Amino acid sequence: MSNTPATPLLTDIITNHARNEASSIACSFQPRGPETALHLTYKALVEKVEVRAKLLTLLGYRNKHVALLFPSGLEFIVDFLACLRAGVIAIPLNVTRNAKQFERTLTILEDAKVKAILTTADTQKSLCKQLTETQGGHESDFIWIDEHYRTLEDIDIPAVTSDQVAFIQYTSGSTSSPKGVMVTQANIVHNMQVMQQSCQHPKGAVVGGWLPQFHDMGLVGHMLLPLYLAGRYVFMPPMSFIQRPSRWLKLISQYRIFCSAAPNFGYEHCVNLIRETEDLSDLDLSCWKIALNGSEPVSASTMQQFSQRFYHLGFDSNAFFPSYGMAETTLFVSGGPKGTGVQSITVDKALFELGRVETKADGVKVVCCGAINDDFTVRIVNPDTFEICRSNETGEIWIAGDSVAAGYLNQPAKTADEFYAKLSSGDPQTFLRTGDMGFILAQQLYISGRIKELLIVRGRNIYPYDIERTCRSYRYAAKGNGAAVFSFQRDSQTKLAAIVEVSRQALADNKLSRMTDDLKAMVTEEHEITLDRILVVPPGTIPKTTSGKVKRTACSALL
Amino acid sequence: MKFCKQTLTKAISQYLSEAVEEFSAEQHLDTSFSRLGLDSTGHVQLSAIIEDHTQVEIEPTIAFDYPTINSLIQFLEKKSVQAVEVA
Repeated sequence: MSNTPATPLLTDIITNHARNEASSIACSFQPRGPETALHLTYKALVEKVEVRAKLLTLLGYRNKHVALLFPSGLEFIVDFLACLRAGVIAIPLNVTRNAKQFERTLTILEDAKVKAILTTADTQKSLCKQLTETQGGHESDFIWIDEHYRTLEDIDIPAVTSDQVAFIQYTSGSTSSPKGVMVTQANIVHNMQVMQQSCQHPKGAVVGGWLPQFHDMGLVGHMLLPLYLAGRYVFMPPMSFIQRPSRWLKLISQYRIFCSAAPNFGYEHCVNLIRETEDLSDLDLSCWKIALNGSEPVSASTMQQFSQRFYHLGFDSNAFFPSYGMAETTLFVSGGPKGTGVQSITVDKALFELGRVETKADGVKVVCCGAINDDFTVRIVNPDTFEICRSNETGEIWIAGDSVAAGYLNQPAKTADEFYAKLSSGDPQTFLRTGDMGFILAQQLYISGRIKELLIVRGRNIYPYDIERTCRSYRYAAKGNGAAVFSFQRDSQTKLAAIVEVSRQALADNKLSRMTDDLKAMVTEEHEITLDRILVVPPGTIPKTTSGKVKRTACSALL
Repeated sequence: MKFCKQTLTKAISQYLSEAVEEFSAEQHLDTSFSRLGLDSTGHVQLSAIIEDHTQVEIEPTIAFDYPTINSLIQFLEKKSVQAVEVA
């Protein structure tokens, strides 16, 4: 790490903005229509942050883990920045809807040994209800700190250094073994500089949209970035977007948003659900210079449909900004240059499946994830031999740079393997292993797939093991390891399927449709994803290797 | 808030028959949406359909809290009665 003591922290930078332009608006939250918008100036924001930071310091949470469970809103921004300001390690999490989902939250709280939860009084009520319904916890296990907590005592907040962990992003990893990425204060500022450079954000840029605040792209890309730039963070609840996607476009037009990001799903949702009859003629999307698309595979056809639909509202297809990054690199790694839109190459399909990249006119299209920012060293590496691949080969993407986080919380072995990997050449440089496969062409990054056992279905990262566990908990499930969850292709879409072994008695007693419906309901309630196909079969039917691993390809054949 | 129970039920059924396989308006009035295989985006879409019919703001998450056609309609009826009483 090349952190000199002079490196300013994000909260110092924001405090400085409050001095220079106290009355500029820092954040605007619009829960429903334009008349419901709430704003905070830089002066008001910094004052609120100071008050909360003093409270957290007085309560003794410096260097301790504190969870943040908030619905979308201004309160989250204040409390998150207060943690950064006071050296309290923030763990932002999503507010769950039912006890089943809260179990994942509980595993994370246990993993991080969290005692205190920052929240709102309303959210606390609903979460405590979920907590008592789960077997794992009691309300009294936690200290809940809501907006009514106040202190009148005035104290100095001890200084925070840039090598301290600022927050922990729980993102990757299955429910059974949650992985918390430790992002330092220096990581945050470095990634802000990287994004400013790659996206060419002007000072004072308006950035935002509907992405959730508790997750990397919404948190770092939408919320922290504009505050770093003395700009304005504009946002609405993700649910408002899901309900009526045109609200996103209205928000962009109304607040003249310069940069708004979404996974591919967001653009697709607009194409599918904004009706042709809806009157959007007042909208002007010409302000939207960076339509960032990241965190799931970018589809060129979605981008094309989107620009065809919204071209007449001033949307410029060159604003598309496919991008690559992850919580392990704070957020951003590659994207742009600004104004180049969706770039792709076509490669020979048969060779590509074997890991070779040969351009071919009538081949398979691979979308470019943009230029690798100069501040990163990226290598394409053979994941078995740790040798650098030839330029026409695909391999695992390895990354080094000051945005690479400090590792996974409480997982030294995994951290050593995945954050401090070394090439076989003996080069002392350490790299982050991303688990993604890809290649580099003319300093531009292309993604070809993943090594990790992860399925991406309808924009969601699915860990098959989590869903298999839910299926195995079904009361008629046969004993043993009798469930396989995998994806399959149908009508050029990725679908999700499960094969579940149930007891012979249950097969004799029950209608198949009843059992598949039960399983469908269980999976939807717990994971909010629908199984497109379910097979219930007698024990011993699922094809497995001699070592007991599920053969997923053979499973697809059973459908 | 005013709405016609019949047309709203029909609109919801219409949506479900497009969104999930083997939906039957006769058989599934009390079957949970997740049991029918409706995903979370689909649940939220139901709230938009209800908004269109009632012309009042509806919580996006309503179909998670009232997860069958009958429970949804009952809740909305109760709400509309309350609205009349308040008025």
